[in-house]
Amino acid sequence: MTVAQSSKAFKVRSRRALLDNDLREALGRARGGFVEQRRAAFEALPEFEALRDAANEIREHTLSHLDYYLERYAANVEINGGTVHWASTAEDMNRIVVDICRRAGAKLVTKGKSMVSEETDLHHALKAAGIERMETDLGEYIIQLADEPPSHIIAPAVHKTRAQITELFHANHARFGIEGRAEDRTAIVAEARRVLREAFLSADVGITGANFLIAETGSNIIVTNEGNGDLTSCLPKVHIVTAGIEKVIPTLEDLSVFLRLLGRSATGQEMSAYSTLYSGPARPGDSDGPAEYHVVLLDNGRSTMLGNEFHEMLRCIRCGACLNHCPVYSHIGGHAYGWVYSGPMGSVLTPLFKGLEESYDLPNACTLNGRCQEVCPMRIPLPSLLRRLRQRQVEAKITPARQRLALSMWSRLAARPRVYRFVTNLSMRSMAWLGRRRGALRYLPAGRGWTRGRDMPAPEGATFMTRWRRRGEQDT
Amino acid sequence: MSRERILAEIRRSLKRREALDENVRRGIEARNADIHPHVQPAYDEDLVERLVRKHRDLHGSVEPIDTALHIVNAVIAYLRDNDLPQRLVAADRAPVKDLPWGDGVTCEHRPARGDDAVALSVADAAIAETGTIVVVSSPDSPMTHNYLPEHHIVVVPVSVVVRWQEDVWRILRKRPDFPPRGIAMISGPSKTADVEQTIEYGAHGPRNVHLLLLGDGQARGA
Repeated sequence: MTVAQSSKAFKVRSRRALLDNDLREALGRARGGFVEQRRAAFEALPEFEALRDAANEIREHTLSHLDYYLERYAANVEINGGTVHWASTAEDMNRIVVDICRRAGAKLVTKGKSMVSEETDLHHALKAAGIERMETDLGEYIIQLADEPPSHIIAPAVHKTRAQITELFHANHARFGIEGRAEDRTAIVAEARRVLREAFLSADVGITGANFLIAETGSNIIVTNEGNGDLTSCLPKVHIVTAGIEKVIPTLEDLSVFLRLLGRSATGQEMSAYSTLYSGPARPGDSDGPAEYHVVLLDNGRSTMLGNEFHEMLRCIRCGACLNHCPVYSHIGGHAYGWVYSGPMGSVLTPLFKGLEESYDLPNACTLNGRCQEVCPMRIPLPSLLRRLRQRQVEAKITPARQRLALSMWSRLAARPRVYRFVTNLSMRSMAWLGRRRGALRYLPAGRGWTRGRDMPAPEGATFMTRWRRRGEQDT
Repeated sequence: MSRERILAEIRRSLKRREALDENVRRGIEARNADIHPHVQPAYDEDLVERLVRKHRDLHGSVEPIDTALHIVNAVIAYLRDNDLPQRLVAADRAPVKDLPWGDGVTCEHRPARGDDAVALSVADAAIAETGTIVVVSSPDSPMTHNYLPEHHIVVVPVSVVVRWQEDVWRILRKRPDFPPRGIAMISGPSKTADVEQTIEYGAHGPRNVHLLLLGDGQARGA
């Protein structure tokens, strides 16, 4: 799987994505659905803003006492008979998971969808250890067959058309004795059910993520529509939960606030089909359930983020609303971003996890239109965080020299109001004169990138400042 | 140790050298001991009516029955109507324990296997807010019943219907086994939209969740 980070190729991939008709068809279908369903769900919920306030208050409270809540959570997991492992880095997490699998003599592992395991590239670690992995979320399974990373955090195969899925299944399912082609949706889903059921029943270890960890009870909760996370949690002898340290929340009452926001923000659902709390391994007398229950808590830079100007990003509940509402994402899809997180949240997280230089284009591929912040249930100021990343890039001199020169000239100009007014007045007038015939300019000096794809509308001869002054005169 | 390293880095980021001081800790404990719901969606619909409406909206089915004596007939009719074999796995607890199934039907009290088509469970709670059924795991109520069979029949006594999700937490906290190993909140059948963003039911779990809404024992009719 190609999860190695390649955000450097963002422009190339974006251009390719824009020319990919299959991708455009798939994204077009997704865009309307998610946005419309979310809107309808929140229109029917007058308490939306109050829930957002409550959720933010809970998250900020937890994050400001994160050490306390993690210790309390871990203590309660142990009381339930589970084991907590702490992983500072991605490599730590992968090593811990592989060790548990080896001790269990695991040949086959079933996996629920987990962005954390994408982040650490657990897939490679399992493969290197000779352990077979079956993704069980249908979308994740499809991209596993295609050997691709997810292109959306909640709909990982959103970029695949039905015909592509039919061919992927046909090419891969002969080994299960399936010969024909599953053409329609029902047949595709039925075929996946049949193949994955075998895996569920024979897997030695089940690995899932967690939507939240509840300190009060030492539980993890998994929210799915398919029920795959539950079959992964219930059937194998060993259940491993992987989760970022920011996932912990204090109590069950706190959880209810988040559950009311999560499904509605993601897919417009009041509740996803399955929201299940797991607290430890099978108890005495239980006739099913795992004999071992492990939680791996992953830091991977989160504890550092907690103290810097990007700490608001730790409020993220991975609902995907910012992706669905982003005009850039909805035209190029997730793969252009080059890593496992995409869209606005990915453009913030990828540079923080992978380095400013590696992912230079991501914070810059944003129009700062602000829709992501408007729809974010956690009110994460994504545009401000992206601006902060741009600022860091300039400070670290990663931004190209010409651009930095232009920025510093601009800032000098903007700091001198009289000179600024003179210069803008002059340029407005000259642009208006140059575009007087067509009402538009075909070329801009030093603005070729802008005019390559479109004309610059000619200004109507006065700057905003001038018009504002005139308005003031009229009022008095 | 990773644990110490992570906790130390968190404290450094929070500009604290040590764990919380006693006063702050007491404040947090007071917050979490003072259990109260935060924000709940208001509604004034009848609880049972809303549960039924919401569950049907979620593509589930509902059948009211007057007494526990009607469970057997309702299940047999369901198996017949859906062309299912006359066998099922069931929870080993009232009111589905020791039912008079008769000769034609095999009912076993054990965890579900891959080839079981039908499971019969008892809801510990049902949330009218969202049409959600809550089934808690215990030695008498295996978790696999909720997820493996294609048809999940759940007996929901009207007495367990609650208004909001938080009411479930309040009820569960009184149990001696709190927190139970598994708390399944089930909102309709298993589904996926991973192919063409269009919903298909029966992705991995039940294609249908059929509620037997059990009245308060005031038998009307037979």
